[in-house]
Amino acid sequence: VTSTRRDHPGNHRALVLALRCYPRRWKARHAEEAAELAHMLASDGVPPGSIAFDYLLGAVRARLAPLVARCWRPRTLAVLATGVIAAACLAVSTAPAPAGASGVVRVEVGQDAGGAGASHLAQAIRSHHFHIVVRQVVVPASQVGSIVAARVTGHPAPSDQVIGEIKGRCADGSEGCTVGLAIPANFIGTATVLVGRGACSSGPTDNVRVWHKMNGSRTGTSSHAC
Amino acid sequence: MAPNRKMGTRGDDVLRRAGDASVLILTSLAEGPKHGYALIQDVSAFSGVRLGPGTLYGALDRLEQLGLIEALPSQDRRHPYQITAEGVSVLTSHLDALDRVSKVGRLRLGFEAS
Repeated sequence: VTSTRRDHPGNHRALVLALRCYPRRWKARHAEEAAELAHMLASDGVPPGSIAFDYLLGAVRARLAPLVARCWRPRTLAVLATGVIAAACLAVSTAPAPAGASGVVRVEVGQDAGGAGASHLAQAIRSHHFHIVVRQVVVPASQVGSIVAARVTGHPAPSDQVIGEIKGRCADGSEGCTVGLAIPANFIGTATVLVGRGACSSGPTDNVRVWHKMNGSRTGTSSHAC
Repeated sequence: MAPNRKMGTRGDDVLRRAGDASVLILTSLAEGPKHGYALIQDVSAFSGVRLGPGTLYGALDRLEQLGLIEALPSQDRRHPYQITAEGVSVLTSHLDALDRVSKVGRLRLGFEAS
C-alpha cells in the first residue's frame, strides 16, 4: 500500500484545524458528521485541501453570520455602504488633481543666448505631451531667452484653450519679457512658440532648431546652429 | 403558521437572499429526507453543482433557522434532513418566480413558449 497525497497527515491536520474554527454550538452538532463527510468526499476524489478550505470558509461565515445579523441589519449596512461610497466619491472629487490632469501647466524658458533655454522649454512642453513646436528667432539683446511669440495654429482655440504668458525679467535686467507659458492642461491644439536668441555671425536667422511634438515623440530637425 | 410568512413583509422571495445552495438543497429534499453526503451527491447529479461541505452545512443551518427544513433523529453520526411544509411552500413560490422569469426570457430570446 502506497501512501497517497490524500492520506497525507497534513490534510488531516488542515481538516481538524478548519473544523476547530467553527463555533462551539456548531461543533457539538455537526463536527463528527462533518469529519465523516470529509473522508467520504476525499474517497470520491475531492481534493482534501479544497474540503478543508471550504470548511474554513464555512467557519468564517458561521462566526460572522450572527454578528452581522445582530449588529449589521440590512438597513444599517445599506446606510453604511452608501456613506462609504459617498465619502469615497467626495474624496475623489475634492482631492488635488495630479500635475497636468487639470488646471494649467506652467513651463518656463531659461534665458540663454546659446539656445539651452529654448531646449529646456521644448523639453518641458514635450513632457506634458503638448503638440507645440518651439523655434528660435534672432532678437535684440534685451529679448534673448524670452518668448517673443506664442501662436496657436490649426483650428481656432476654444475659450478654455488659450495659452497665457508668464512675465519676468528680460536679459538686460528690465521687466516685462515673457519668460514662460501657462498652458491649459487640457490643451489639445497645436501651437508654435518663438524663443529669442542672439544673432549669428553667419547662417540662417531662424528655424535654428525645431522640435516637432507628434504623438508624444520628438523628431528633432536642426537646420543650423550658431 | 402562515404559509407565506417566509416571503417577507414586501412579498420578497426569501430564497433569493438565501442563495443558490439553499434552493438546490430544498429541491433535493423535495424528493425525500437525505443526510449531507446524499445531498451533495444528489445536487451534483441533477444540477451539476458540487456543493462544498462548508457551504452545505452553512445552508442547512440557515434553512433550519428559517424553518424550511428540519433535522430527523440521527442515524449513527449522520443527521438526515427533511423539508417542512413551509419549505415546500417557499420552494414552490420560488420556482414559480423562476418559471415566470424563464418564460419571459425564452420568449424574448425568440424561443417558442412550451
